[in-house]
Amino acid sequence: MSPIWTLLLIAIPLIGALLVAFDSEEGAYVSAMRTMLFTLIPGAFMLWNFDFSQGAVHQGAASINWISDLGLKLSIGTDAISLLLIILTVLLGPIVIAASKTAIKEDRRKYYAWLLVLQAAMVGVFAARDLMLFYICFEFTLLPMFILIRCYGSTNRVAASTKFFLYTFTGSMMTLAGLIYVVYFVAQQTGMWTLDITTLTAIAPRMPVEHQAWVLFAMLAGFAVKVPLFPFHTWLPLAHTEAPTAGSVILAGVLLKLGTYGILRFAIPITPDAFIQYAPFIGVLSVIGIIYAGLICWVQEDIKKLVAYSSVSHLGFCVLGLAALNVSGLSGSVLYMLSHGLSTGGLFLMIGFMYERYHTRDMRVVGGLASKMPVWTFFMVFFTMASVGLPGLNGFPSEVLCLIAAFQSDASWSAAHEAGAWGTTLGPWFAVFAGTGMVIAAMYLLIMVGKICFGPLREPEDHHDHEELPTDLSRREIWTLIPLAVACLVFGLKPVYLLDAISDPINQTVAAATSGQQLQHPEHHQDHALIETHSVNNPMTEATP
Amino acid sequence: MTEKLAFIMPELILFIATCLVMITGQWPVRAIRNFTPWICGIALVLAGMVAAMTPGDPAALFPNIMPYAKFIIAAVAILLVINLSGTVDRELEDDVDKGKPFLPLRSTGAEFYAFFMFSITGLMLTASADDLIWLFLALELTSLPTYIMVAISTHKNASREAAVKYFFLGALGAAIFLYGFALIYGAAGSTNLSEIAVHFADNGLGTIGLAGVLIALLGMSFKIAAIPMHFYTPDVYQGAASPVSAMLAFVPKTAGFLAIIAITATVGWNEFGRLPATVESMLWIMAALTMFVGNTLALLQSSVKRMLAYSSIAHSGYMLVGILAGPGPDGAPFYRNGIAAILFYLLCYGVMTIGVFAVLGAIEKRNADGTTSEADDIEDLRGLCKTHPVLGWTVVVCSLSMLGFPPLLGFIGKLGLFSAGVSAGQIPIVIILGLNSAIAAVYYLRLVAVAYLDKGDKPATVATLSPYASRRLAGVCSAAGVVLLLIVAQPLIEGAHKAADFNAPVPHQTDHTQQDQPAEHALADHEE
Amino acid sequence: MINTTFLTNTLAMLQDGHAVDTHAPAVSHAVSQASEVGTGPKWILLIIGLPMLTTLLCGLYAMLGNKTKLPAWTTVAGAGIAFIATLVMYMSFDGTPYTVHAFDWIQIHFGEKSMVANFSFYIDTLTIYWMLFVTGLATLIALYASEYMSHDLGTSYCRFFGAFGLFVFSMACLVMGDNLLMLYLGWEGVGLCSYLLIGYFYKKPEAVAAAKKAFIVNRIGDLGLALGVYLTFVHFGTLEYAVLFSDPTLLGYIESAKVGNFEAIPAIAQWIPLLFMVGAFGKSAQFPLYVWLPDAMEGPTPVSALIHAATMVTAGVYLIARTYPVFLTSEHALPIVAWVGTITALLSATIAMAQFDIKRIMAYSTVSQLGYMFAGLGLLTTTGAAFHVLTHAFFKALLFLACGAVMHGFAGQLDLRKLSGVAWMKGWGIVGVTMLVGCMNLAGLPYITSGFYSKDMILAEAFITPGYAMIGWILVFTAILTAYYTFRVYFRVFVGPEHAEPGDEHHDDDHEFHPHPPGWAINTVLITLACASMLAISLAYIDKAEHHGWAGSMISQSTASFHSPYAEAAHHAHIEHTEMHAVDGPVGHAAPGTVFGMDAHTGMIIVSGLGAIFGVLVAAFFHGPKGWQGLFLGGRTEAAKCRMDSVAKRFGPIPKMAENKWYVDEIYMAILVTPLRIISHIFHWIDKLLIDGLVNLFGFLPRLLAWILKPSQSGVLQGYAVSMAGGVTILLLVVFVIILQGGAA
Repeated sequence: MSPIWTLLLIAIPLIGALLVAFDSEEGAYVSAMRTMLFTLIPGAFMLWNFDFSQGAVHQGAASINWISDLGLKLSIGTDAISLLLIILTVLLGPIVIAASKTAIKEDRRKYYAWLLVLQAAMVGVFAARDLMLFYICFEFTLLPMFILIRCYGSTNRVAASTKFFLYTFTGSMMTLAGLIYVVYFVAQQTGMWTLDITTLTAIAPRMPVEHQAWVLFAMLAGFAVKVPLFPFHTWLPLAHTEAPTAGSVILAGVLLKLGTYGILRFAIPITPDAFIQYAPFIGVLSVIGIIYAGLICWVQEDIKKLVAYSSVSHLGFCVLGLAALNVSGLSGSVLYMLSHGLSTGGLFLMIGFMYERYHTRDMRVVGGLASKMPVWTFFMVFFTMASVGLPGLNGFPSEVLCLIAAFQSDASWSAAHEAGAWGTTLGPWFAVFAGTGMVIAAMYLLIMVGKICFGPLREPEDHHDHEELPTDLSRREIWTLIPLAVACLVFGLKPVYLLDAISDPINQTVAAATSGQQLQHPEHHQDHALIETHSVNNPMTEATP
Repeated sequence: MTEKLAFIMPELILFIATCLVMITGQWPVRAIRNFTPWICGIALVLAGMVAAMTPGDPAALFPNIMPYAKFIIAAVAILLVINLSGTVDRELEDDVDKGKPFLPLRSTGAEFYAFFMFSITGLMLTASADDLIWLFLALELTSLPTYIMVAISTHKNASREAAVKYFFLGALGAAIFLYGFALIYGAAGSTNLSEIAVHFADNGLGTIGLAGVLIALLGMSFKIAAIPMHFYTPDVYQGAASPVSAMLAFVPKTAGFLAIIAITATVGWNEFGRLPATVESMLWIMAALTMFVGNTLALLQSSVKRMLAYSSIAHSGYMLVGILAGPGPDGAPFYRNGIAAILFYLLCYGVMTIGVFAVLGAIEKRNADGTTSEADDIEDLRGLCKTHPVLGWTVVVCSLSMLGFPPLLGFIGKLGLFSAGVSAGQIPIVIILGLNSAIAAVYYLRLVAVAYLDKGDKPATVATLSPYASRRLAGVCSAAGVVLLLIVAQPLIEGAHKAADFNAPVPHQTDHTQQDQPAEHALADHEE
Repeated sequence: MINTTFLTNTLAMLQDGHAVDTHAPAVSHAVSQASEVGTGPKWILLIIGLPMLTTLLCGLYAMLGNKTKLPAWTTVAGAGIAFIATLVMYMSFDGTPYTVHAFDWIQIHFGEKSMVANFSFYIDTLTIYWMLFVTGLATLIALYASEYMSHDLGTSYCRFFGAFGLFVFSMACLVMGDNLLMLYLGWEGVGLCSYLLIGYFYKKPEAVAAAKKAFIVNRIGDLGLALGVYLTFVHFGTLEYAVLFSDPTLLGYIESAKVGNFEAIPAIAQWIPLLFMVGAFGKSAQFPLYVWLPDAMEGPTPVSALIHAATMVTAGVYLIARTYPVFLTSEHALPIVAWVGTITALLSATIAMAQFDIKRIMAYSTVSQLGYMFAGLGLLTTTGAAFHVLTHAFFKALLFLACGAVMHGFAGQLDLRKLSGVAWMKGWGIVGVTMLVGCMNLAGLPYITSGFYSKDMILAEAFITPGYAMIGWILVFTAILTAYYTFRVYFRVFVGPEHAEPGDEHHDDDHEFHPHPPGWAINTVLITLACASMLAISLAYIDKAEHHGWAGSMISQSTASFHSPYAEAAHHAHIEHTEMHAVDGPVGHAAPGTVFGMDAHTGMIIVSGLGAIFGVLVAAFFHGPKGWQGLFLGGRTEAAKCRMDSVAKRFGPIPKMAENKWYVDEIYMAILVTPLRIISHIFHWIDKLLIDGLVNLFGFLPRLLAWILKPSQSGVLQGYAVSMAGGVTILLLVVFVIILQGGAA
């Protein structure tokens, strides 16, 4: 696969952004849409030319020296996982543009231009093979999102955008420190300051476990906030609620995944031993998140906030799968990264369409829309079921795999006592408690649907009829939803395609992560790991050569 | 003595230009008067080129620091000239337009430019200083003109007050580090930095030497606007005309850091790349406090100038991390060399901070009574990207860069400091640096938001362009610099790295105990 | 006589022993066993595909704005063909199970192991048995619904039949899936459909609430099932039946279960059935998860008949029957199942006695009958359970449809105090007769009803299996209650003086109310079902000698067969085990397998037969109208008044409590829902105040620090000078303190 397609995927949106910025206020939508549709072409070519038989190989690699004294390269390359995430990003692009047509009334140019920039940055994150390039793109996504929320959000947008930016920025400063320490360590080992991810992941695990632990925490400081993992989640409901629809969709669809992607790509390969040691700790946090956020959803009156909390709860499964650190867990978690955006993104679109018509998100004020908007209701129920995790839709396979993984990763539970290949980090209790998330999810989502779709029709007093919008969904809106719905079905019925595609890289990751484990930790227990937290001493003493 | 002339070629050029400027600055013919800034510019270009070609002084502790330092000084100084030109004599020139005769006595143009050139000359001299006396003189030559520039930059009393504060406190600072120099001389029995270094390496810095170094460093903290001598900064920056504030943000800071590098170099970094515990701990405390004080106080400011003043304090704190990291073991790569990081960061900082100051100078707010006054309140920047897109975007880009937002210049600079700090094992201070970047994000984002994003509840007093077109140019140039220097960052960084290779004084009888002893304690200090 | 019973068992054991042995080795560990177990013809996918197709077509009609009965006919056709296909499948089945592979679904490979859950289907006698009545009833009820739902033709008509088709599809996946995940898919799918169909009248808040309740309560069960499934995979390393049931580990466990040493079986393996059980309780509305089923009657009656009486609710029974080998490995699972079933049967029968809404009475009787089935499973007679599932499916569907006809005709009137003598009204004859048939079956009148035979098998087994006599007696008592409340309905509503008040669905008050009798579609269906439930008697006699009838012969060929060589021994193991803590009921000491000294079957025929008749007579006495209609016992002259009213007063509050379902819902609300909701609110505030508060606090700290530092910037020259000098001094002091500590320099 030639790198040109990836480069195009980054270049086209940027050029498009310029064009949009200097386009007329009216033409902005069209030209933005055109750009996004253009990006589909290289996206398709990537998918077409990618050799899935070697999914673990980073294909279409290219590299330009930038600042060699700091080891900065502009090097890209995609393996199966990043490819799929890139494709997801590319697919969401036109959808979010289409969803914004009527929602965004003034200052369109700025809006669409930044959407396009965001698109480029997100592709950059997944394509980057250079640590700093990854970090740069990772950070850069903050700015467009900040602007989208700040300028196009609803009432409380200033607070929301500021909190979003500062919280994540603070976290990722810590991440930067951690990553630089890793680079420094590798530089000591190899004698050269390289930011090449492959080299780093190869050498870095030689770090003593105490250092690994510190690095892991540093990295988690950034990634856990991004995911967001309980208790670092409070920015998300705010940001989601205030963001414009497109913003919420991208946030749920891609930006949150940057965190889990970071854990998968950096935390696990770079600090495997520490990760294995603290996985129970991470697992506990994610389980708490699943239940806690789920219960909070139950008492929300603001429908958008409800969905926002639900994605905190859902991402808990994703992290749980990572913490299980076995093949099924990582597969499930990657599947979750891909599929969560579809269903939750869909829900955010539905809410957006409803909001455009009623200008409220309060389920006490508006509800029982089934009689007035049947089509809308159909899609609402569909996406709700998708995110409840109904088998046959996208939510299910990933959820199953994550839970099975949690079970598996206590090897003593299998009759044939498989060794580390099944992981030893979590155990059945994680699965049991996480499983209650299924019930809770059904509870709050169905209550939501019951309120907003069914029952007698409730509308705001001042509401007469939807201004220029039709009563039910317009053709454009339906076409915005159909790709998502289809994707939900495909993911639900043929996850095997995705699973086959990602199986190589995941098997390798797991193998690499668990290989050192036998000699480093012959056996250990969860409480043991938790106690360890305090006994880890300051790496600074060891840092001096 | 004559061989030194080769080193100070650039200074000589600037000196000659200065003399010219003094004459042309008050020449009756308008054209020639207006040509004055051009003379400065040309001189600086020449000086820069010559500086880039001048050889390093093998005897010095940092043999190659001179060419690079002088080069970046010249480069930034050109921006400053563009920014400064036409600051003074505005009314006078207007009268002349009205047909009044030109009165040299009323004109301050000549002094203004001359003092600027003197200050830059002093700065370059600081870079080439290899002797305490020279260092002191160079520093004073750098600072003294700025006192007067602050005073004459505007006709407001505020700037006179600022000048007075600046002068007296500057005198205090000078006194302190002069005292420090004296003690060092007393301890080492020489004023030559290399000899002092050798002496310290031989018989360690005794109590007197230590006191000298510490006091000298504390005195320097005035120049770089760091704890404990930062207090003057906001008042002075606010009082002075914004181009002058921009100059103050760069020139004395650079001088201060060059001096601090020189002084700490005499003490030297041990083979673990660490300063003696005492010096290190003091610098550590200085750095940490400086960052926190600067960034937190900046949060409260509604005056952009004060905000930038505090941000300049904070940036000094960042750069002190480079001093703590030190040049590293012999032939250490860039990522390990804190001094190189500082040299590069000075350039970045100069460019980006001048950008914002320039924009501040390029606009003025229209008061209720129709008079215009200098833009300072953050509200004056509101919606700038709509009204004056170029200036607005300058603000946005430069503040994002100061925030250290990737991939802008500030981020690359900070990356150098980060890596140097981490590689030197100074992890706690690096984490503090990270935290402070996050704190700083708050007020830099406020700038971005005001200029670009927020509509604002009440209709903001629309800022109009001030008559100084050149400042717009300066702003654009620095904004362009923030972006374009990314492309040529590699050679600049190479240069900085080359400039910062430290040939540690070889002690005659090797006796490390005193030196790694402190190293251990240094650790002990930081871990609590 | 006893010996004969055991003789048959052993005989069966030998035969099926061969059957099992012949194909057990053929099934081996393999990623996909499709090749080994033999692949079936692809046309079998029709049974899955057609219902899905009808759903899609209904969706299409909805888009095209179709206003005719087309959706109904489509569905009838689809289900009908599916039924025929099932018949063909049954005819062509040669005794060895096979799988049909549609497409790959979920597969992950780690190392040499892998997890495979394909979209493929496992056909054996159990599957066929279930599919036969599922598709058959679906066809009939679709036909019925075509008329019943005709009042809202158009989009909602399409919606109804769309969901209907989807339900049949999911049910087929549930029953035919060849792995536990497929079963789970169907399981959740039927849950979704029941959610959609209960909430069919989405404008009625109670309908929406009921739908929500059904789905959520089911989800609790599903959680159990899901965990069970995961655990099965984790422990046995497979999800596919074919691999699982021939898994040496599992067989090994059963070996040890034979000899009753359950210590040899790891606790994890014993947990699996317990978890499955929870799922079964949820779906089949067993105590304590039965509360959703009565509310589910908010849905249209055909839905109640098909989903909430005949098919979906038997999924739990199917689950246990399907995974019976796993259940045999657990020490406690089956006894618990038996007892839960019994308790449910009794509890819901008592509630049913006091209800006035005839549909609800039927709902509770469903719960009660399901209780019988579970008891049957727990008593190791899968045959009995399966047979009862079949007969119950027929007569209960019949009863619901008859009630539905009444409801339809009398504008939603369901209160038995407001209706009387319906059977005599013009055009209601068929309803009356068929209803009578249904009631007789439910009551289990001896010899003349199929319900009698199926129930008898279970009851008899209770006495054959030592230690379960108590269960037996409870079930007998319940049978009497059943007969009573069933005929209570019949005597009140269908016979006696003609009287009818319209229900709340009658709104146009300008002209007074005319009941409109059912049309041909409804009548045909009623008649068909009536015949079916009578004919089902014959099934009890098809190779009775060997397997207790056709059901037995079907079951005994499947893995659910309790008469399989291992399970026979396991049976004894269970007996020994249960003897240890047998419940000493009134007749707890009776010798195994005898009732009043007779063989259990004969005994039961007599006891339960008499019980049923007694119940009917009691009903007649208290509720029957005067004259022959009331068997010359009753004295009711008008609709609302009967002897029971005065009797009920005597019992004080008890009837009221029974009518309010013993306040179980209220109790759940009080001890589960409300606390949880309070906790959620607490979490909500914790999130708002504590966690976000901490975040904001950290955000605020710098500002706080700034406020502290602010005074230092006084703007006064002297102040600055002083503080600078002071700062210098302080720093120097700090450093010198350090020196004193370290003694450096």
